[in-house]
Amino acid sequence: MAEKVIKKSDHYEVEPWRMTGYIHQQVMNDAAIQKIMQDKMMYLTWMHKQEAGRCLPGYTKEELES
Amino acid sequence: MEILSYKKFYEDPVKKGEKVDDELSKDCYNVFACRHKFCREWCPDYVEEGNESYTSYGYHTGLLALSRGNGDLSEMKNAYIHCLECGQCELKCPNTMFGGDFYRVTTTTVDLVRKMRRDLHAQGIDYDGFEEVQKTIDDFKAHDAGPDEDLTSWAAGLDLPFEGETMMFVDYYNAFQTREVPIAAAKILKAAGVKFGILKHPHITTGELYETDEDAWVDAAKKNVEALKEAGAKTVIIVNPHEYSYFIKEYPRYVGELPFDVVFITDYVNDLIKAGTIKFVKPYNKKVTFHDPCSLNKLCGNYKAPREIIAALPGTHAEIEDPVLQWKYCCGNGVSSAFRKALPDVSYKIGVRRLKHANDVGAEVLLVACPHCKDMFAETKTKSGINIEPVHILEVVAYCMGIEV
Ligand code: SF4
Ligand code: SF4
Repeated sequence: MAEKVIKKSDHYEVEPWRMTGYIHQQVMNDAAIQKIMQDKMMYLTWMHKQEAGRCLPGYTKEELES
Repeated sequence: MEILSYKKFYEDPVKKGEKVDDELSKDCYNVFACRHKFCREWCPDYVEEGNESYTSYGYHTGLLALSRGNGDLSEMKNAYIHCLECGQCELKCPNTMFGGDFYRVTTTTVDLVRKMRRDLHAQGIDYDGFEEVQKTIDDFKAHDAGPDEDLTSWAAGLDLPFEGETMMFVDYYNAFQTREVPIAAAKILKAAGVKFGILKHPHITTGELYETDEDAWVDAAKKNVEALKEAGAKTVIIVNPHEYSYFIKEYPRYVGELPFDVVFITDYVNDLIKAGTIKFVKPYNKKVTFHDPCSLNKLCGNYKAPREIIAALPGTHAEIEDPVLQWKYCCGNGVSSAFRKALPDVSYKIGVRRLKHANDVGAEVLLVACPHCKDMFAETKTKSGINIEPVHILEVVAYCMGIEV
């Protein structure tokens, strides 16, 4: 099922009413949201740098048929 | 910049023989259900000990088990002390990294660990080695109750006023154990022509107290904020990154929005360098690398200023790593020094790993931006014989400015 989302200062957020039944939202200010976005971009960029310079070989025909 | 991110339901204590709060149990299930264990692979304690009970996953799962009636609270006696409160797990956890900003629900391991140490202590269940930690708390409390002159004796001869729009906050660790750090900070600011003051009586801030007696710690926090306000502070410069994390992440929880800006010393000094107010007159011809303090890099997302300062040092050859790679490391002290006191052997192994890594990148000096890192690495260097010198970045800035510290 598609989430109901809102767009807020450059990122998507679930509509808060969806978070009132089972799991509740915690106290979190915009700086904390910005920090998560910063950490995420840093981590993904770093991960990309680890892998982007090489190409993983696929299976050989023999391996596939074995 | 205040970073607020916490769960109200952590305030309900977990008590022996009583049902665990439903919210807490569901929250622990969120971590249990993930099982990616990204938290585990880079947890400095897990890397040394290989025990999954001592990871974010383990801490949450253990509590979940307790909430389902499996086990007893006293079995957790020695579990939560294994956390350095470095924050790696909570930022790398998919619950935070890939869903936290969307759902406004994150993994908050550091807070959970502090809460559980507190809850266990309140019921007389203290980890082995707690006496050492209690001794530190008592010493620091004695400083707080002692004469004002002792608290500012590190600043003797510096002629600093006890008021000002810009105030430098110096914690007890810096004031008593690593005086060279606040002295370097004060001399740098003075040489750059910054008018600033210090508190006549700063109150206790240590993390060991925070996770043992929250009320006493919060009481001191309120007094610090009040005293800084009364001194006329519009900007407060913090010299210890542990305290910086408390000021921007914890204080606003208890005292509301702070009536002044909080700036970490490396950011302040970096701005002065960029503005040309700090001028270097001497080269520092060394091969250096930099250790990001967990409290700055992981807990506060602050990593740029030390890198820019190092890049500006004349003559210095720097091999500086990506801050993400540094999420893996801790000096071994922990954001609350309880870890180092209760688990000196694990602490030492974590320190050795970091020093060896600094050696591997070919550095002769390991620059740090935290007094606890400096002390921890100095001890590890002596014990291990690994030939790399831990030096505080402010001492090098002062050196290049031609200042004697
Ligand atoms: S905060 Fe650090 S030491 Fe503690 S569990 Fe997380 S990664 Fe491990
Ligand atoms: S703490 Fe996060 S990464 Fe680790 S197992 Fe849990 S949910 Fe996964």
